Amino acid sequence: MSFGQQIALLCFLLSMGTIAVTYGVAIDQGTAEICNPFFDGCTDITHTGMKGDGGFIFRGGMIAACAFFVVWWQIMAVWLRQYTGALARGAMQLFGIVAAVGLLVGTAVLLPEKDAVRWGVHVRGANLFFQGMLLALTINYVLIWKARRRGLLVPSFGFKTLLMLCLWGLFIAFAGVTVGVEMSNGKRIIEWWATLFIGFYFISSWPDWRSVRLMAESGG
Amino acid sequence: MTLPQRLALFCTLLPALGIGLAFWLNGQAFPEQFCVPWLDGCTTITATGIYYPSAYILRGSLICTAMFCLVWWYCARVWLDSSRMHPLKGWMWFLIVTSMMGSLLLVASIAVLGEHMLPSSEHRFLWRFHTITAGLFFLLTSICQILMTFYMWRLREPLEISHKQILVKVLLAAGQLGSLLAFWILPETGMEHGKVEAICEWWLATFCCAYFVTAWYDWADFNLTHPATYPANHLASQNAFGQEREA
Repeated sequence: MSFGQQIALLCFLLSMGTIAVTYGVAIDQGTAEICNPFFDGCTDITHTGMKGDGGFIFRGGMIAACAFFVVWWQIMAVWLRQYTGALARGAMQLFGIVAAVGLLVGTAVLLPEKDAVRWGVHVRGANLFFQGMLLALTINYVLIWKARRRGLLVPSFGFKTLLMLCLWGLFIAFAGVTVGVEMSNGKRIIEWWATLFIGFYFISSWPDWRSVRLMAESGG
Repeated sequence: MTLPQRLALFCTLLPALGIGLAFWLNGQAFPEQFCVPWLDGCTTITATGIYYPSAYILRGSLICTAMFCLVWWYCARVWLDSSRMHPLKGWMWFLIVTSMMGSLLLVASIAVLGEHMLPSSEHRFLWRFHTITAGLFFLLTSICQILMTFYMWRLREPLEISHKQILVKVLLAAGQLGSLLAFWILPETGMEHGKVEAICEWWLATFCCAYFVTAWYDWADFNLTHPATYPANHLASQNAFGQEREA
């Protein structure tokens, strides 16, 4: 497995795995309702990761995932370097990293007691993640489309296209993926699906980055 | 700047800025705790991350640092591996697994920190968990950095490492060894245990942090690459980790 593939896998496993484990622990400890949140919207992602041991797992896992998101964007920029302009690549990286920092800040301020949480900071951080990520992924998709026309091999292009359609579909149909303190069931459902699609976008680079490796040019 | 170089920089700057900012914010809230902790041992790194908002900053910066360190150690293994010293392969795996465990322990240790641990008498389990995981992180990371210095000394010729580059690492590794020994020896001399512990923790953290950035010079030619950017002479002769294929 190449370095690029390992980072893509870790981005997916850390983010989606943390949410899944947190939800499991929260159900076990009785701090979250048992349901299928993708269809019922009985809880939002934030509230599964506040109380009990789930809170520790959620904070540790999601902040750790943010660090890997930053590395993922760095790899993406290197992968597209030969085929795209520096400005567009820089904008893509900037929005991607800003989104990761937004998630980091939004997660770091979560506390077990609901009243003690700085909701203003959390809501801004979470929204920055979703909006920033949508922008970064859109730029990324356009750059991949251009690079593909110039000869870059992108086995996941079809899957990426489907994910972009789903993400933009959610965005247009529901006037943006916005996170609030008390969300309606509909918005919670959107949050769960949007997070899943973003997670899938990270892992979609797995077949593309088969040969993205670390190489020592001297000393070998 | 190459990706591994950026990682080396992040691994040092992020914890330095995070701990520094958390310490400063803590000092604003509790002026009596404002001091030079490397000399006075008036507070521990843990204590700077208990009260909010400094706890948020310590949490965000150190958990991210732990993950960057994890990737740093992966890069270190690939880089050392490129020397093709096969007898060292087993040791390198030990190094990478141990150091990655250390990084994960740091995440666990910081994830539980916060005001919810107060009063300490009612949250003994959380305190014990934090103390053990943080202690193991320092121990494992220091052992790995000392071992890495030893390997780099052995591999200095195939990896073309200058004496100056090695010297900085040797000094930092010696500093870590000294801090670890002082941690056990000084309390025996009658010094206050808590104070010695705090001073050693600050010095050990400083040496550990600084060690990561020393790779910045080593990794100038060590980069992320894919077929479109492979140098022509590498394409035919190198495998996944930049090693030459065996004939």
